[in-house]
Amino acid sequence: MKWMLFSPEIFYLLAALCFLLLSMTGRLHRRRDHHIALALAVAGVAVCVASLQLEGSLFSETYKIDLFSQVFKLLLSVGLALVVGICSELRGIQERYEHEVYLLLFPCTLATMLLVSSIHWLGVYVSLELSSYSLYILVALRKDWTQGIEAGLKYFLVGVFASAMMLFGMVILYGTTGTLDVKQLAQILPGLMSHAAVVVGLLLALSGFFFKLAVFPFHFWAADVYQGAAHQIAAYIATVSKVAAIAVLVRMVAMLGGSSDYFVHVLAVLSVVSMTVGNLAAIAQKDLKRLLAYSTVAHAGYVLIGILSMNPGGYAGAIFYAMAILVMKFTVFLVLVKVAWDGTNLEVDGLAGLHRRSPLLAMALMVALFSLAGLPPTVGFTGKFLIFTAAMERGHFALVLIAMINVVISLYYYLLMLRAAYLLEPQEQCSPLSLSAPIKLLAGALVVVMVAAGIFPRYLMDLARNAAQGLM
Amino acid sequence: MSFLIGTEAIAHVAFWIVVGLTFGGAVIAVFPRNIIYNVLGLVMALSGVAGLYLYLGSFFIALMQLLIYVGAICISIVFAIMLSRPLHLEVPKRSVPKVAMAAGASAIFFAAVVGVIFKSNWVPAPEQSGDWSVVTIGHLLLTRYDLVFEVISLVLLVAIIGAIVTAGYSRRFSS
Amino acid sequence: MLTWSLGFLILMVKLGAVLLFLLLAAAYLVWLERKFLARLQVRYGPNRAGKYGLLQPIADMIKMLTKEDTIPEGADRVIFLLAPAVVTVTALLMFAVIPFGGDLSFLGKRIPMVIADLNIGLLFVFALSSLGVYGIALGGWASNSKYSLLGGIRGAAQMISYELSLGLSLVPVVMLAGSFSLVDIVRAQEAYPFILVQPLAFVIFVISAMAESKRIPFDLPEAENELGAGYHTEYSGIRFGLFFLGEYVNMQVLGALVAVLFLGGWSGPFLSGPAWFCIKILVVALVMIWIRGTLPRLRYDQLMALGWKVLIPLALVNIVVTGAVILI
Repeated sequence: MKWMLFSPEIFYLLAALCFLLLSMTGRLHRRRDHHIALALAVAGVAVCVASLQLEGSLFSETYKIDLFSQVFKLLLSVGLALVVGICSELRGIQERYEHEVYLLLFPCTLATMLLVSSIHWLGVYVSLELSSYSLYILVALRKDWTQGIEAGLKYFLVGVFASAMMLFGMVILYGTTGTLDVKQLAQILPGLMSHAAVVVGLLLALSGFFFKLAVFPFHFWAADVYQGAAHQIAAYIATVSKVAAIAVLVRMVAMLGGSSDYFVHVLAVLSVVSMTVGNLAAIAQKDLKRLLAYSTVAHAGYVLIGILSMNPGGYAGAIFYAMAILVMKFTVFLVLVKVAWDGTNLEVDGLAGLHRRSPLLAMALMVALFSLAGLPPTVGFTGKFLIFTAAMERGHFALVLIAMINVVISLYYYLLMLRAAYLLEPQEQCSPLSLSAPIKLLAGALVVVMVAAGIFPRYLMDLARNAAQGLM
Repeated sequence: MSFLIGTEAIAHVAFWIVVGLTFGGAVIAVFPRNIIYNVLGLVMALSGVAGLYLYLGSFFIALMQLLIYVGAICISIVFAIMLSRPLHLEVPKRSVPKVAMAAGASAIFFAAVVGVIFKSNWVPAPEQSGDWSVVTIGHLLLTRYDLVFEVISLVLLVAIIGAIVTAGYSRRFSS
Repeated sequence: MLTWSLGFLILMVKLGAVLLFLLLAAAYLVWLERKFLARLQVRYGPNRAGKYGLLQPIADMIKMLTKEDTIPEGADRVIFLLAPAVVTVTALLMFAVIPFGGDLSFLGKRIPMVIADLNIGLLFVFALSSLGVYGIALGGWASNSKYSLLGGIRGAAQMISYELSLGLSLVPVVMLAGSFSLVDIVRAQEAYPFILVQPLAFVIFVISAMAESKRIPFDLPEAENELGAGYHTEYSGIRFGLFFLGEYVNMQVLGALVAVLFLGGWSGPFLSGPAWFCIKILVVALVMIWIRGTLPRLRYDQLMALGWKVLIPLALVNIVVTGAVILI
């Protein structure tokens, strides 16, 4: 059965349609909807696990199912399940639009899955649009609608600009080669890499994903959108959407980027500027979500180092880093959602006294921050280690050095957050946070995963390596 | 009978007229402060692009361009503008630094594109597999580009939901 | 060179003939409508100029041509002046692809009785009819009058909505004929006209077509008891005449389309092709006038509900059913 190959996508499509029907019934049943969404998301993870070993291609070889795509689909489905897990109280979302949250989250995840597998630029473009449109709307659903609309509009405008650039790049690629099929391009391009048009076309075509990943110069939306969106939505953007962008970048660069010094130089510049701008801007931020947004920009820079190394180690490092980002960013957002339970934005100082209000969350935050900063023995350290060694192999010493300096800078603001959580005394008396048992379990599990994957990364590393092997 | 000298000269003239239409439309779409003129400029530019498709020999794409961009998209923009605030109210001033920055950025981009165009030696596209009739396009849409075709319908669904949701805001805002 | 010149000449003759016929027919369609409507309402209708008022269209034409062409204060001059032309031109251009009869032989050459037999003629008609909306919307907007603006908005909304059902209702016809060319569609009906196999598509098409041409019961854009005269309230003289002409040319276009798509075009016994074609157009026009004399105007919400909740779903179902039948 060829359609078995397509089962995760079909599952998420059906789930989305299920919520479309539910939204037409009118009355809002918050608990019921959340339970259905959670059940569907978890079932989606199961489907993705079951289809992990599938291989093949669909739609006249324009849609590839291999270990790489299936690993990323699993990651995406896990990301969705985690985000749905913290959607039990959507206080940041307008009440009348709570239906639409799930209705849009599922197609968006479907779109990211299509992105991961598409090896035709048209498919890539259309899937990217689907995921972007869903996110534009999700951002605009914020309860404080002036904030939401403003953020949504900014996201939309930057996104539309990036799509236009991407289309332009695709046009140039098509003009020079006569095809948009990535497989055919992979055969034609190596001989053409000396042409300026091809490199420019490729870079412009990738700009859609630079936008998703918030790489400089497409990072302007990040801070405003994170701040303006509801916490859960921001969490989704910071995790699932980033993972998908990394996947496409890795695949496209692996298949098309080969052996152009100019291309590598441009990526290196983007990487350096992203890291530096992200980290320096993050220091100045008071709002927690803005800070996280800039830290995302910096992380995009680190991931780019792995990608521009263009060796299996680099790709494996980028894949591993995608997994790490998913877990650690989500953990911070979990803490954020629980601390700012009324859906309002949180300043860094608002974390004050967290270790007394909820020791478990404080510990989860600590581990996640250590991981984001790249301190051993956490998963973030392993990810950075893999990427940096891959870059060293290719002789990018200066790049690694700059990245190291950036890691040190980032340590400063991560530690500021930690200080707020552990050392600052709250202004007024705060009651302890009451957490439901599943959330406690989730927070504990995340801590265990972050530490365990840092100490015993063998299994995940092998998975990433095998996935990267399939690309070459 | 000099005006009958071959169809080639006529086609050449037609080409430059179409290019002029596209370019002039684009200028009108950007510079006037009256937003209806901007839309009409856009209409002109898109019609010009349709003319280019015609010149390249694809009548179908040209008509689709007219039908979709001019007949549907721009009409809905006009419709939205008719519902927005009256135009005789004062228009916000254009800030000079912003205009300068935008002009600079587009100039750089333009220069880069022109540079790329002149630097690369374009190979005329190999004669594509013959007929690009509606039948061929239809077959391709339902085989090779099936996925794209279906995903576009999802995109439209999401866009419609988005339109309804964001329109809901403004309704509440005005009441 | 000679063939080229000859082709050019024949094209010019065809264009001239069609244009002349259309304008004349439009003028007398007005007369016909006024007479027929008057009879339906137990009146006499125009009966002063000439016998049976036959010279009334000419008198009207002179009146319109000689009246002052006023532009209201605060109007957007360029767009105001341009809008009526858009309506008329798009309506006239649609006739470029409509076949009036079978091929004609002349000097040993076969001359098709159509100005241009495009292989995607139907799409051409759609593209032009979608452009016609600009005339209404912009004319209403540029007049700087609230009645005109409301009429323009209503017109744009109505035409956008009904264009969908119009297009969807024709998909089964295209599927049956296997071509977008209007000539091929007529040829495909040699055995039987499509109205027999596609009655639902026919009904949807006629309803949407009447909404597209803004005739009662769909004349909300010019609802005279609410909006003065709607989008053309501020127009006078020849510019009003252009709107008027556009409307009646549109009526002929729709009659011609119904004839071509559902009634078998030029084919019929005894009479020649063009004669049958004219008779069919006339019948459709008379039915439209008859409907105008019978039905009251729809409310705005009824209009939208009819378009979006009835016609479009029905048209979609019709497509699916037709496809299934063809497959089996």
